[in-house]
Amino acid sequence: MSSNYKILNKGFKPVRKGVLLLLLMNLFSIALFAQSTTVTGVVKGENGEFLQGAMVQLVGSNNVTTTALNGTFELRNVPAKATLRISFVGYKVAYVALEIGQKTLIVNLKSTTTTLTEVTINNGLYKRPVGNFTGAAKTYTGDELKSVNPRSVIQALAVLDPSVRLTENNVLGSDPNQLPIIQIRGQNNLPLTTGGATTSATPVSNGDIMSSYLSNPNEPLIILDGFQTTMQTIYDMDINLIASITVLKDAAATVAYGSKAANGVIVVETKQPVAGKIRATYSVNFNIELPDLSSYHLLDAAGLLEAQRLAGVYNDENLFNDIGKKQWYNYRLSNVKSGINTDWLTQPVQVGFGVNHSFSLSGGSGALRYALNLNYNDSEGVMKESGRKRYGLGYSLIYFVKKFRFDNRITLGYTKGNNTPWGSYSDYAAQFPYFKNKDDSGNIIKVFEPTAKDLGFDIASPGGIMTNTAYNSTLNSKSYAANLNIGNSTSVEWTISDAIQIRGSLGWSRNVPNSETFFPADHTSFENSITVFSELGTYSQLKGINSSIDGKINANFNKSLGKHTFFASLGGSFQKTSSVGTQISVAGIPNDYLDELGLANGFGLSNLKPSSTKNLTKSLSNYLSLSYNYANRYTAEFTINQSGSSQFGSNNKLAPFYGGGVAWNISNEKFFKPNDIIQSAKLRASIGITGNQSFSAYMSQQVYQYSFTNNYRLQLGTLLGNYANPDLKWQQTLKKNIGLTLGFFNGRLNTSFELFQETTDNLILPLEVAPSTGFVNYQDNLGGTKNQGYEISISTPIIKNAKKNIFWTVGFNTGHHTNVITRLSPAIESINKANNSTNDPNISQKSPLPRFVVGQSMSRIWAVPSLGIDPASGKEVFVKLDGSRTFTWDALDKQPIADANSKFKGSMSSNFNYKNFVLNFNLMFQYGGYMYNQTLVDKIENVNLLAVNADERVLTERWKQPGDHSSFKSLVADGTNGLQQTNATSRFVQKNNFLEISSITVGYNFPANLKWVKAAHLSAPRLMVTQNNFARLATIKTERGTGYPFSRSFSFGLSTNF
Amino acid sequence: MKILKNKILVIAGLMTILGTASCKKWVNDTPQPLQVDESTLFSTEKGFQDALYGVYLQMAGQSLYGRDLTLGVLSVTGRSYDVNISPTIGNLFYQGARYNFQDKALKDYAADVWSKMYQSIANLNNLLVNIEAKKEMLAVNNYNRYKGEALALRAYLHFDLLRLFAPAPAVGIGTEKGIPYVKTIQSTTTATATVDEVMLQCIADLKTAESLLEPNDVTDYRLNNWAVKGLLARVYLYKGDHENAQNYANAVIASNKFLLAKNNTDLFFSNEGLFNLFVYQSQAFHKSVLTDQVTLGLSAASQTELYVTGNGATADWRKSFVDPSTGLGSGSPFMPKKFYPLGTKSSFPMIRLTEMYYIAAECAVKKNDALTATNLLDSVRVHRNLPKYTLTALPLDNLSDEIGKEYQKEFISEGQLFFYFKRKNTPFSALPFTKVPVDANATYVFVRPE
Repeated sequence: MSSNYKILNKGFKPVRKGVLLLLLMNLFSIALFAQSTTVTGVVKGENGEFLQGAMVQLVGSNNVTTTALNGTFELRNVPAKATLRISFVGYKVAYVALEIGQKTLIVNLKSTTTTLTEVTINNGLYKRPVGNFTGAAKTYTGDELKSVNPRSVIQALAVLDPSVRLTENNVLGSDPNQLPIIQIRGQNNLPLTTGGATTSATPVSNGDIMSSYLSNPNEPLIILDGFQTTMQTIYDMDINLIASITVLKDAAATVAYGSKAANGVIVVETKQPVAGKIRATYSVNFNIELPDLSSYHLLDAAGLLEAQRLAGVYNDENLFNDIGKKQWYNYRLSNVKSGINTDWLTQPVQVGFGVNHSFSLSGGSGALRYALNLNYNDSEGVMKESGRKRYGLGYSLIYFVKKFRFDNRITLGYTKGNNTPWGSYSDYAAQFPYFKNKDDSGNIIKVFEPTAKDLGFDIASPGGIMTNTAYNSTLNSKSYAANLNIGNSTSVEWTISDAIQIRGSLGWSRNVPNSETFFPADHTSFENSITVFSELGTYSQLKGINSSIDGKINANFNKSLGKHTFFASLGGSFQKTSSVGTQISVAGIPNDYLDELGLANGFGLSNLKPSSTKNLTKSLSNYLSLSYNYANRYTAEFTINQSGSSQFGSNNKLAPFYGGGVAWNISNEKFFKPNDIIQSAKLRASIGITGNQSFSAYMSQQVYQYSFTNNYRLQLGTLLGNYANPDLKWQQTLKKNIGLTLGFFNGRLNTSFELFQETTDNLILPLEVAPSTGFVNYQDNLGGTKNQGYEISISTPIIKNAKKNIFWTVGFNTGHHTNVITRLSPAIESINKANNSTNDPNISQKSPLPRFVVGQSMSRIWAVPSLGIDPASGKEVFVKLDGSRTFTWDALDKQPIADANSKFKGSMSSNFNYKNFVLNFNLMFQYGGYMYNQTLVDKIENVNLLAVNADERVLTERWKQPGDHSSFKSLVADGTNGLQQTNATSRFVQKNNFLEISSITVGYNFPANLKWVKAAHLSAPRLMVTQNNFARLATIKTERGTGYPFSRSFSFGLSTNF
Repeated sequence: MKILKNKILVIAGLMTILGTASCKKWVNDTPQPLQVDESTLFSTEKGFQDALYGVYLQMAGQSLYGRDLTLGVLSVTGRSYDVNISPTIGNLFYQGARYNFQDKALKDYAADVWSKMYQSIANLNNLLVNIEAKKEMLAVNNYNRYKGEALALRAYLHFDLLRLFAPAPAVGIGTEKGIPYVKTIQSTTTATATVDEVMLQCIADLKTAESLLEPNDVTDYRLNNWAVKGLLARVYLYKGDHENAQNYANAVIASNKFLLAKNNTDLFFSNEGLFNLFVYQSQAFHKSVLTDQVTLGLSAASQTELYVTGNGATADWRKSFVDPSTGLGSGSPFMPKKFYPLGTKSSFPMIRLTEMYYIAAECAVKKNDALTATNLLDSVRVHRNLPKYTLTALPLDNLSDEIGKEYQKEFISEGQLFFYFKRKNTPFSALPFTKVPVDANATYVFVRPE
């Protein structure tokens, strides 16, 4: 590490010399070529738009300049009869021979392709023009993403790209501190960690690359400006900094990443400093988040009491108890009659206000360019006092000297996410509406009801002592996670000639996460606990340091010879990640103002000791990628990669990956006659093997564990706990893709189809071995999955009138994939078996448990087939495996009922521009998927009316008397004890079709000739109003956001340049 | 342009070299802190020592010699207790007393013993691989000691697995299914060897260990040269090779490295131990069988019957192994006092000198040498505060009975009695202190999990 920096520092000295040399040379040239002049001009695109950043070069010299915002340039020291070379990415290079005395010129560049907007694909390692690219990839600009969702790029990406799926978390809803979970083209891994337990729903990465992967083994590789990063970094990044996001899907596009590529790759590029006069850009975005509680239909005070009465909460066979319970009924009834009907759902929620300020300065001329970015973001959540604050500072510097380009970027970020002190939202949905939240003097009540003794009743209240979670909001408590991030990346690019470039870069980043939770003794969670008095109140703290170092060197070569175009790229990289974390939990903090870790009484019985985690991985990756194009008709690409990782077994430290593709540009063939219908057609096919290394580093290493609790005559002993498989390999995914791009009606209809299949072999799963080997199991490559599907996207510029300045484009995309397990290890059978036990108290059958069967989808819902409720008895009738009918639920009768995976899922978008107005909207839809309606189970059938509130349908739709034809079982108190509890049944497997208006954006670009714009020296001021999650139509009615509500949001964005 | 090409070639060449040679080293060199990677552990001599202690520590765990293979399950089956044997003490002990090894609690226990013992064996095998790999690094005497100790432990564990999970040679012809004798660390199962083969493998390992271990090192908390000899005597006797058993037993007795106790200040007679296992949690384990959750013990009547009647005497120091009046404090009156010797010694005898006398005596009996046998028993009796037998040479039949009785008196609550009854194939009806009847399907073979 340090040695690398030294080299770089040394490198600066010759650079300085070079600057001097350059200055001297400039002086000489002025002196020598007295007749040379200064040429000014404008560079435009096909449609007359000004091209900013185009390169203007005096052929045969280093005399180069780039065009400014309005396409203008000024090139000095141009000798007479010179030739200028004008180039810009995505446009054909133009050569202009100056006539004698010519001092001005206007250049119109032609686009390399006519129908596609994406012209080069940047896969993070190398750039390649679309003509020489055979993979499936899609690029979205930062503005495009921002107009869909100005607050979350990931959510915007999920709307725009049919292959990107965002896993909706129904528990955590719109919690601003919840990282999105995404996958590209389905999941290749079984939804279990290789340890056997299911994966956690909340990925916490804190900049720790490894743990980010471990928590979501299907997470795509995320590359930010050439270096691997975490989901959290992207989540907390200022959206205004993003230039583009490219989603790489198939083998030809991803294989250069070797053993990390199997889940697809997301390449994020940030904006480069723009040359020219110093320019300031400011954008501000205000947003309002409104809690969406429309999915809740809870009973009111009178309804609940009635439901409780009907359910027998206030009845008892024992006469003494019966009288006692009736006393409570009457007490509560009097409360209801006095008008108490608390709306608990609205107690902990608020309208969340958010603001995002983003300011950047950029400028520079000639050899030096620079940019400075500042960002402040404060997003309040819809639960009171929850929110996330982000501070960002970035500085980048680009320096050209001769054929070298130096680039250095420094980023500094701080994020703090506060969790609400109000607790889980589910506590409020469960609360009885006939309880008051505040007493007469306005203080929040802690314990709702007086004791039986105080009231003079004979027995304790049904349901026991009930506490008010809202009381915690009055206490001084803490629950937050913060992260400080520092990063630096340096790169040097050496353009040896037009054909050859070499680029070396080094990145370093360090994350310092810190999270704390503090609940004082008065917190309601201790109210009914059996904790001893001296241990009431808990404080826990997690601190860590995660760092990563990345180094890369790439060489690119391109050559055109007549009809032959050739691209080659060779590169190597290394990466080292390390993470250290220490967690300390203590107990016994009596007062809420003693909010420091060190003020606790001790570790307490449940903690006993601090704990630490430490992880270190090292990996290497080398690749060679070749691409050849003949006459713009045939393209062939081939890439090989060699990856090495400390995670692989000792016999398999290095892994080869390879892939390639071919493309045929049919529309460039001679037989393809110009016609009015189809103008362009391109067929692509690719195949290749990529890898996945999202598994723990310990699986392949023989690790000894020291025991500190015991000693052998004061000597330490150490024991080998696991059998490290020296043959353990990376997981391999064979990716196949066929793509067809068609352009109809002179660009009026652009379509693309992708057909893909991803076969993962040697999935890492545990294998149980005979205990005489000394071990219970070990990890081996034993499983397989297959995903296949299609993606369609259509975009039609319906109106494209540059003269009148009206543009209207409608887009549509959809996709579908199926998933099948092809191979499993016998150890999985034990998971299935455990999930199939009817009487195991540790296994809850209230929701369908996963079952992994070869030939079935991973998302299959397994439940016992049901014939509905018997009108005579109110009991549910099940069908056994042999077809017979029974009232008894048996886990062994479960059958695959339906698949949660949708038949198709996609989005529709409309972008309308009229003069300075912009109107965009996006719809998302899903059809053909199924879901288990857990709300109906938990809030209607298994609801425990003693302790929690229920859905309205408890009163209206449950079976009451013989002859009732109802869809819900008979009503009874404490469903878990009374009648049978409702276990996974086909009755609650429902269609999950939905249509969602995910965003509506209205924008206005203020014309530059407005008085106030001129007066304020503004340029291109823009106002945007976006509403996200506007409406949702769904076939399934469930409570959404059970632990944290979902929100609807409005954003008002204003941006301007100075 | 040519220079340029050369430059590119050099860069490409460098990258290729990077890609092959140093790659492997870079990714291999990844230490994992907190837990110690194999290569790190065995980079110092201390690591080898730690790995050995790791095995001893596991042996001292509750389900192995820390409790259940000594004073727990094996002492219930070995009839060291006759008080409180009722279903209330839980199936592990109650069904153990009934020899009902098909019971789930005992089956689970057997599976636990099996996997823990084999885990220790796998650890020893991995250690042995590393000892050979790092032979150069280790001092010669340490190489010998680590290797000898690891081989000896491997034999010790396999021998006890054989005695638990396979029929005794006394009941068969030696070709019955034994256990796998695992000598390598691997993920594939080692085939099950016959009872005879396992014993031969044990003997082979022990003989190698004997040749490696230094005879002057008599550290009792590790398997030393003399413990290995004692273990060889035990294995040979189990095998029925009385000649070799006698030779090894006599070699230990004649060495004078270990001497019989001259007083009863230490009821454990710790100095007689050829190999004493250090059990860090011994007090907790003792309490869990004899005081706290379960209160097993021997009644006063049984105590008298065992130690006083016949050729015994009240003066026998061993009688106070079981002390109704001075068991530790508030615990059960039946608490065997031997577990609370003066001070709190946390070591547990695994092989004792007296066993050598009994092995030698038993072998002498086989040779019809009543005089030698009686002398050997008398040697022990004198050091247990008992008079010598009245006859200089007891009748051979009586001698066998006396040896059996001596085993009961000497090794009470040490777990060895189960193995004695099994070796002798004692009929279940002839077991002492039968308070609960044995199960109809009683057997001396634990149920193996695989």
